[in-house]
Amino acid sequence: MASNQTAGKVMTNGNGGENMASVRSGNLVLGGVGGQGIITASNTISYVCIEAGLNVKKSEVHGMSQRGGAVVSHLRFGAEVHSVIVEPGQAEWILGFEWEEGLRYLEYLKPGGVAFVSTERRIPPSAQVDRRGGKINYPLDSEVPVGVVPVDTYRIVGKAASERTASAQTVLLGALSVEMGLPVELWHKAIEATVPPKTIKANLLSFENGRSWYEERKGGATARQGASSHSEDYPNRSTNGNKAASSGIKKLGSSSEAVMSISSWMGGTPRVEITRAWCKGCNICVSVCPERVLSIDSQEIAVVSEPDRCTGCGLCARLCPDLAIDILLDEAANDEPVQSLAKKLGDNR
Amino acid sequence: MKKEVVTTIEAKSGTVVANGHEDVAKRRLGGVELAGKSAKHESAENVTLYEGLLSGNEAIALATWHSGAGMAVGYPGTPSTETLEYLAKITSASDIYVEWSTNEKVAMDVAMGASLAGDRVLVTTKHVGLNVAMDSFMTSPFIGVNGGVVILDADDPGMHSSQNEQDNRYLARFAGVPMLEPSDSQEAYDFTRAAFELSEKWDTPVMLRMTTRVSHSRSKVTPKPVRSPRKGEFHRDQRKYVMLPGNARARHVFHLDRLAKMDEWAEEVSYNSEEMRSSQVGVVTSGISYQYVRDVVPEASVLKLGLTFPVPKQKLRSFASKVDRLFVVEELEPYLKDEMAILGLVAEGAEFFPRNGELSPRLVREGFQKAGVLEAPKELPLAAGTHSVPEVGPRFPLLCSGCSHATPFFLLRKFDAVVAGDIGCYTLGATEPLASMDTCLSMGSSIGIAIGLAKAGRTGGRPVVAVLGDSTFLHAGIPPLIDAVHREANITVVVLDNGTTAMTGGQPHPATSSGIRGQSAPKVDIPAICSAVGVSQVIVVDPYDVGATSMALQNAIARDGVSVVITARSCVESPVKSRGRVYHIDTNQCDGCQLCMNLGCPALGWDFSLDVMPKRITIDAALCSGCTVCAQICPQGAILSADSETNGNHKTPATLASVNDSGKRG
Repeated sequence: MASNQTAGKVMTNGNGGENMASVRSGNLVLGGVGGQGIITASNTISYVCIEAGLNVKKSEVHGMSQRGGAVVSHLRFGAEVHSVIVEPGQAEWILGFEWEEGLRYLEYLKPGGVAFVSTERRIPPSAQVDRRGGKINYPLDSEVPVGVVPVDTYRIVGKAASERTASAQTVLLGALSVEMGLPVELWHKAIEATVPPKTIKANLLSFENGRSWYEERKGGATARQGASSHSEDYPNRSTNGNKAASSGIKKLGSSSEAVMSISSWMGGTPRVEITRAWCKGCNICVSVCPERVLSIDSQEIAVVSEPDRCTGCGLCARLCPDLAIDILLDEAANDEPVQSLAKKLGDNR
Repeated sequence: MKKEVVTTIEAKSGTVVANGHEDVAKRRLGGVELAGKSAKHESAENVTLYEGLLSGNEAIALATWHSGAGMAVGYPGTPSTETLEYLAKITSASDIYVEWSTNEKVAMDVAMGASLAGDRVLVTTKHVGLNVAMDSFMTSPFIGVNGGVVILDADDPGMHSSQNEQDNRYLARFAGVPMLEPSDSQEAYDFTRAAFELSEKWDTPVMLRMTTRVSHSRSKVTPKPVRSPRKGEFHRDQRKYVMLPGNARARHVFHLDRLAKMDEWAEEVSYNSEEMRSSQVGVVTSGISYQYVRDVVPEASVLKLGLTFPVPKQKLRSFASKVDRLFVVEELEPYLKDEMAILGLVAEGAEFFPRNGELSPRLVREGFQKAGVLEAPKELPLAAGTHSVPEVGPRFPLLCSGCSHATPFFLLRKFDAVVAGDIGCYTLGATEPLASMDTCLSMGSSIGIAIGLAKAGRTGGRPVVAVLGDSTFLHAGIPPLIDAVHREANITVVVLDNGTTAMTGGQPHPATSSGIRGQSAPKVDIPAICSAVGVSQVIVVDPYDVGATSMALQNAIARDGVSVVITARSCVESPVKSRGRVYHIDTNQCDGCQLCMNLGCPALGWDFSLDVMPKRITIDAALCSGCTVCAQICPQGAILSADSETNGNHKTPATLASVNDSGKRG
């Protein structure tokens, strides 16, 4: 073998998705939460492409994602397809079945590509761990990024978001079909062949609704530019309270409003006080504290070991058989005497 | 292109048939289509209706059937699981015996038995499953086969759902069995058919090495003529089948002789292909990496190895001599690189492509950029700035709403136990907010680790508890339980009995009353097994009854010696999705203490419609399964069903269901 380290830089970057102006080839990424019909939708798109005489490869992640985690499906079609996964920056289209999950895969979007992202929100429990501050780790009030078309799927099919029907998300396929341009009859046939038989009618209806919604929308503004000007498609960001309520999440306004701290609401920081002389170390408070604030010390007496985690819920004080626990409010801003939280809570109920 | 489409359509209508097998082929190809559409108990996501577009696993199943196999066995494990499920779906019991085994070693042994009796057999396992079958696997080439034995070994680079990412190509070389590596579904189909032939040709099991990406991606498959089932029968041959040292010595000589012959044969096989393009860069690759290489450096010459044990030595030498720069692109370990190094061929690659995790077109592109083969990108490939992406948080897998595993973990955290965990859905009990698992090593290891922890005795006075699922208990939990009894270990063993193998999608196991095709099967009795090996206290409890479960655990932990607590309640998702009365929050009662949030139930979340702190809770009616557990633990009694009284008893019929009746819902 003639090893030649200087041979380099002879090749152009391989294609991986170039020359995709024609709808005869393309890359898609579909993202959502387990149970939203992502894999069915990618089957539908595959069916359309195969019927149109194209080669298709697709890949999805199984395994632990079935337990409520993120699900993603990559789909590539064209005359010849090698890789089963899309390279970042190479997807013509992204379908987001859930708001955060659509945004998650934006790095795959090609400049000029379109990401149809449902405004359905499923805020995972892991985003709701700051129980004291109330901050959520979720892009609730983010700006609509360039290339993203927010799709209020439930509103488009005239349903309430709480219904959680997978067929509502077929609106996304309707919108996609406008962009892909393959014959609409193929799409109908594909939906009939790939969705569960009982839901064919609902899916076809969603598809048609999505198609006409997007055609109408495209007539008004160019999809690739006008995304953020269509605030009605993105209820939680606008000031339209009714629509916000219909999608199940109250408008939170600016982030400072959203992250109202516990001290601003209670007028102080909660503090657990334990009368050591009364405590007999029964462990009830330690085991009931939802925030695991308390522990038993070497003398078998309850102590506050994680004071910063206390939300002031008062569960320990209420259940203490020895009445040894009180929750106090430390008022940082003024000199008012410390008052019992129980009274304060009573005022606010 | 056009031609391919026509072929597929013909295949759909069943006109591609072998002479003399027309009827069989028609029925079988039709069967594929039918099976997809009539799939029962399947969520829509699992049903693939387009028979032309098969996953790698499905292609293997189809090829197994079309090869005339008489049996297919295995143990569920991502990413191999769908193979047997699909095979059972497209065939009937009279066509082929398809069944889950108790563990991978049992599957391997059953397969060897059937092979000696003349059947062609498929064994399916994930990479770590082959470790369990290793004892039999290593000696199987000595005994050899009668009917062909193909071992589908599915590795999981990137650990999508595994505890390690070992590269099992070394195991094929270790055992000295031929190994084929498909790179798409069509190859998975073709190589499976070839593997059965090879197994019989070389008188040894053959490994078909898959990876997650090949197993779980879908591409077009054109089936080939169907072969009639192999006929054969068992003939006594002690010198070949009885591995006494005297016989084994002779078989070892035979095995070494065979390896030498296979080396020669490897040069001629059609599974390896040399694709000469530019002579400046040559790439040796296999499996999914081949597809990435073709996309990223389309002008490079490629030696694609379909047979990766034994490697074709002359072919490698000849290819190396034809190119200026020689690369190896392979996922995980430097297996091909080392094979080439033995031949004195120094290949680049290991310094440019990562040795851990899954490869991707992006990583292959970056590697070739680092190597100077591709020009470094002028701007960032992602066109950074074009898409300002908001920060998104992680979305971890969770126990389902109504999962019967939540209560035991919720309580174990309260008991401050050192918990030796195991492999299954319940490994998620290690994550917040349940966060009550301290170890997880391998299938069935929980009990052994608990024995060790308890015997070492330095847990700071904390009780030692082993937690494992029903399927895992049967797979590898019984021998360590025997050990615990015999050695008088002071441990509590919790068997989370949800009546299925849930993590892999709900497969039956020996303690369920059905087989893979839904047919009825004798059910082994887990409590009786525990009693029989000498556990003096076995408590069966319904984990939907929080109080009872708490009492059972408390009692078992307090007791000296081995105690077993079996939390029996069928999986909320499998075999059927169970839904009870939906619960809601009385916002006047809820004080936002967040105790219920500690269950980690996906149906519970903050109520964003109320501007109060701490956040009040709301229940997503679409997700609530009506398990009642949150209602039972709510200190305020604020969690109610539509018809429960404000301060009434939350014990619905569901929680009062017979504790032994794990198969049915109350």
